[in-house]
Amino acid sequence: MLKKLEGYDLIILTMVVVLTCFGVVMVYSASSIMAEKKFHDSFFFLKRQGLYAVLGFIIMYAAMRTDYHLWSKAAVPVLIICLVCLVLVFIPGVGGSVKGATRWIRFPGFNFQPAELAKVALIIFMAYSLDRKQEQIRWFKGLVPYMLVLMLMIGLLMIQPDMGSSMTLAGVAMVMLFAAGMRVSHVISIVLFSAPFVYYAIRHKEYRWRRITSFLNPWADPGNTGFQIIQSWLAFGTGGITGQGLGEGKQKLFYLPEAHTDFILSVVGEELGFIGTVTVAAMFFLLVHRSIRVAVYAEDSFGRFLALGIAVLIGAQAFVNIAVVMGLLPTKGLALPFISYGGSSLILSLFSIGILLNISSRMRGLP
Amino acid sequence: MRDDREKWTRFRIRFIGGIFIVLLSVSVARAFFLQIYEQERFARLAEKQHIKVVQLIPSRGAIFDSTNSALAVSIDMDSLYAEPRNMENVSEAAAQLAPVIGMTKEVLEKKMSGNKGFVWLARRLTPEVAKAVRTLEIDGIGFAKEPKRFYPNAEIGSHVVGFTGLDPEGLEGIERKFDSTLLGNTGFMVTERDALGRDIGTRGMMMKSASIGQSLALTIDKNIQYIAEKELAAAVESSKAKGGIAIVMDPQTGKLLAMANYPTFNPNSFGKYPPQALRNRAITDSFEPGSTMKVFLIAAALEEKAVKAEDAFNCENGSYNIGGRTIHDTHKYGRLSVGDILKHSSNIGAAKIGVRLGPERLYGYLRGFGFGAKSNIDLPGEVTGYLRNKSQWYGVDLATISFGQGISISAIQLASAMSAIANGGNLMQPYVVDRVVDTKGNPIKQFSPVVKQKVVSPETARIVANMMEGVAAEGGTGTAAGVDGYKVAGKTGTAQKADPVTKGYSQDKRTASFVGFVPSDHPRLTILIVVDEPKTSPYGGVVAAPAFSAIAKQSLCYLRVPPNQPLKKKPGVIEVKKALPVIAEASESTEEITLDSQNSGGLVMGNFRGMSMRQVLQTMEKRGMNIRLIGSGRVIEQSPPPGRRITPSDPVWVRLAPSA
Repeated sequence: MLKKLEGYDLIILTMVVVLTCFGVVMVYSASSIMAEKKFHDSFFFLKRQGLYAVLGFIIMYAAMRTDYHLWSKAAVPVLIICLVCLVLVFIPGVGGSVKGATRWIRFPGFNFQPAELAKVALIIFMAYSLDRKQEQIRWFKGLVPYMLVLMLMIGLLMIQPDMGSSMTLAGVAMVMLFAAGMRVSHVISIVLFSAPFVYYAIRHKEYRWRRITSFLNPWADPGNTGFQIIQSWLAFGTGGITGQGLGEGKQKLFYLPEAHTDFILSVVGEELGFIGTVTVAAMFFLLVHRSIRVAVYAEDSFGRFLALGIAVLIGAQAFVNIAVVMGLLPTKGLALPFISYGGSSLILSLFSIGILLNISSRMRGLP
Repeated sequence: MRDDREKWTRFRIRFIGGIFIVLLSVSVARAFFLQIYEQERFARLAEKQHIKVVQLIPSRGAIFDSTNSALAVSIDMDSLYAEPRNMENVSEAAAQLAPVIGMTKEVLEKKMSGNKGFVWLARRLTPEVAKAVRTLEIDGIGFAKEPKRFYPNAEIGSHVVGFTGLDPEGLEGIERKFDSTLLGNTGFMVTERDALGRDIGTRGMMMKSASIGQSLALTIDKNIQYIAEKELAAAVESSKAKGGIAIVMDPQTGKLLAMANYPTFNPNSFGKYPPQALRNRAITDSFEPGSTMKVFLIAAALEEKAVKAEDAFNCENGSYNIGGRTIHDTHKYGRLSVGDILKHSSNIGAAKIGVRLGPERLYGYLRGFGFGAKSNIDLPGEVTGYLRNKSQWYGVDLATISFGQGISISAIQLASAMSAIANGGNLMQPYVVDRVVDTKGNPIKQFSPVVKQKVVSPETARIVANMMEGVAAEGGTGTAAGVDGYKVAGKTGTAQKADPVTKGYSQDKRTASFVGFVPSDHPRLTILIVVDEPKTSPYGGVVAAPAFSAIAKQSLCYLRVPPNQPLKKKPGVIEVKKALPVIAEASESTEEITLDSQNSGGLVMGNFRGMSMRQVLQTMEKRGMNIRLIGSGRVIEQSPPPGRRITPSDPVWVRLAPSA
C-alpha cells in the first residue's frame, strides 16, 4: 500500500485525509443534538458524512491512479453533462428545492448538487482549452469563448439562485485566465463591466441586500439580520485560546443556524479555540501551497492549469468561508471544503484532489 | 517563445500562491482579534444571552456489594435556581427566600442581580427545605434535580468504595478507578427564550435529561467486610497500635471479600478526615514483611528440590554469622526440620535454606509470587513495593531476604501470594469489581478469575500448607490464630520498621502480621492481618493472630462452611444464626461490656455500633448501667467510645438511626 503512494505529494494527501476525518468529527459535534431532535438519531449526519468520506476517498484514490490526460479528452463531454444537470434541477420531479433555492437533483436515497460538479467541470474545460489556445488569451477575441461558457453556467446558477457558487466560478475562471496571460487591463475592464450586474443582482433581491447591510453593521439588527454573524463571533469569543472542549460548544445548540454546514468553523472556534481555528486555516494554507507547487512543476500546461484551478478552487472556498464566518465578508452560503456537511461538495473536492495528486506524480523541473 | 510563456505563467502562478499568504495572515489576525483580544467581551455576551443552557449533572451508577446491598448510591436532590429576568421584585423574593434556605438577603440579592437569565441559588437542598421553598410560590424560581452521592453503610468498605467530590467526580477507590463507567451522560436544559429579541421557539424544546451511569457489583461482601473491620479495630485498639490492615480473599478466584483499614473514615463526610486516613493502605503502602516471607522461601526451595521436607538444619543455638553479620533467632534452637523452621520461625534456618536455594532462584520465585510488581488490582494508587533485582543483592542480602528483611511489599501482594499457596500454586489476579450492571441490574460486563501464573506445583503447595498448619497448632508462633473446628494454615510476621532518621531498623517500631488460610485442606478464605506499630507486644502471633481467628470464625460461620475437625467446645450462639443479622449479633456476642477485674473494679464501655435498641438495653440491664437512648433504629454513635473505663455514675448515651 505504502509503495503505491510513492511519487505522490504525500503532504497534500495527508492534509486532505486529516481535514476530512476532522470534518466528520466536527459534523457530529455540530449536528448530533439537532439530529436527535429532528430525526431521533443523533448520528444522522455523522453516518451520512462518514459514508460520503469513504465514497470520496475511494473516488479520490481512483482519480489519483488515473492518468490526468484522460480529463483532457473528457473535458467537453463533462461540460455538457454538467450543463444538462444544471438545467435538470428546474424540471419538476427531478429537481428539489430547500428554503426557496432549487439546487438539487433528487436520486433515491440522496440528492446531488450540480453546482459542485460545475466547479470541477469548468476547471477541466478551461485547462483543456488554455492548453491548446494559450497564446490567444492576450487578445480580447480569445477570451470570448471562456466568457460565454462562464456566463452560461452563471446564468443557470443564478436562476436557482446560487450566488455563492456563481462568484466562486467567476473567481476561479478569472484567476486561471490571469495565470494564462490575460492582460491586467482586460481583467479590470471585465470586473468593471460585470460590476453593475452584480450590484443589480444584490440590490434586486431583498435578502442579499440585507446581507450586505448587516455585514456592514450587524449590531443594527442583532436579533434578525445580524443574528448569524454575531452568534458566530460569540462562538469564537467563547472559545478563547483553547476552546470549550470537543462537543462542549453551546452556540451550535440554538444560535448557529448552519452549524454543521456553512458555520462549522464557528463550532471549531468555540470548541477548540484559537488553536483549533488557526490549525485549520494553516492546514488549508499548506494544502494550497503544495497544490500551487504542483501547478508550477506540472509536466505540461494542461496539468499546470488543471492543478492551479483545483488549488484556487479549494483555497478560495476555504478562505472565503473563513472570512465569512469571522465577519470579514458578507454571508454567501459557501461551504468549508472537506469539513462542512455535504456529500456533493466533499466527494467532488476529494475527486479534484485525486486529479491533483496524479499531476503531482508526474512533476518535472523540481529544484 | 514557448519557454518564455511558460516562465511567465509560472511566475503568475507563484504570484497567485503568494496571495494565499495574505489570506492566511488575515485569517489568523482576525481569529486572534475574536478569540483572544475581544474574547472577554464576546464570551460575556454569550453568557448573557437569554437562552441559557444549564448543564445537568448525570446521576452516577450505584455500587453494590456481592449481596446486592448498596455501598454507594446517588439520590436526586432539588437544586434551586432563579431566572431574575422573569422576576418582578428581586429584593422581595430574596427577603422571602433568605430565612428558608439559610442565606442572608444580601447574598441572595447579589446573586440575582444584573438581569441574568439564570442563576443557581442553592444546590441540593434537603426535601424539607425544598418543600418550604415551594410553599412560598415565588415567581421566577424553579427546581432542577441534581444527584447527591450517599454511602448508606458509612464506614463499611469505605476505603475500597472511595468517594466523590462535589462535582460527581470519583476521587478515591472504586469511585475513582471506575469513574467513567459510573458517570452518566451530562444533560442540559433550556431556561428561557432567546436573547437578542428573536423568538426561535426553543423554550422547553431542547431538553435532554442527564442519563444515569452504569452500576457496579463488587466481590466485597458487606458482612465479611464488617467482621473484618470490627476485628481489625479491636486488634489495633487492644494493642494500642497506630493502624492496621485486614484483607479477606477467596484464594480460589482472587476475589476480595473484604479489605479493611484502620482508622476508618465515613465517606459521607470525608472532608473531616486527614488525607492519610483516606488512603487505602492495603494497596498504597508497602512494609517489610518479616517472617511471612519464609512461606514463599520454603515453597520455592521445595519446588526446586533444593531441600526436602524432612531435611534438618542446624539452627546454631540462636546466633549465626553470615556475610559479615550476625543473625539471631528469638528462641535458641538446635537442629530443626524445614517444617519446624517455619513453625518456630527460625531466621537462621531460613537463611540457610535461602543459601541452599541461591539468589537467582529465590528472586525468580519471589517475582513468581507477585512481589516486586503491581498486582494490577482494579483499585487506584497501587504501589510496587521494593524488591531489588538479584544483581544488586550483596553480602547478607540473600540471607535477610530469606526471612523477609530488605524487601518491602504491599498487603495485597502478600494476600495474593498466600492465596497461591492455598489454591495449589496459582497466582490469581486479585479483583474487587465482579461485574458492571445497567440500571435494571442486568449484567453488562462480567469479570472472571484470571490465573496470572502457575508458581508452584499442587504437591509443593500441599506440603507447605501442612507445614503452615504447625504454626497455628500447639507450640507454633501463631497458636492464637486457631479456629475451633477447622484446620488453620498460617504464618506470623514481626518486622522492625526502617527508621528514616538512623537509616537502620527502629528498636520499638514494628509491623506485626499474620497471614494464612482456612480451612487449610479446602481453603475458602485467605486472611491477612497487619498491625502497624503495636505497643503492647511486637509479635504477629500475639497482636494479629487473634484477629485472624475471630474473622475466620465469624466468616466461616456466615459462609456456612461446616467444621471438619472435632470441636473443643459446644458451638456458640453465633454459629447457628442466619447470615444477614450476623452484623448485629456478632457485636452483641463478642463486644459486651466486660468487667475489668484487675483494675479498680470498673466497667469498660463496649462497642454498641450496629446494635438494636433491644440489644443495647439487654446488655446494659445485665450490667446495671443507666444509658440514654437517642433516636431509634440501630446504634450509629456512642459516648464514651469503646474501650473507655466507666463507672455507673458516668453519663452514657448512644444515638440510634434507622438502618438503611
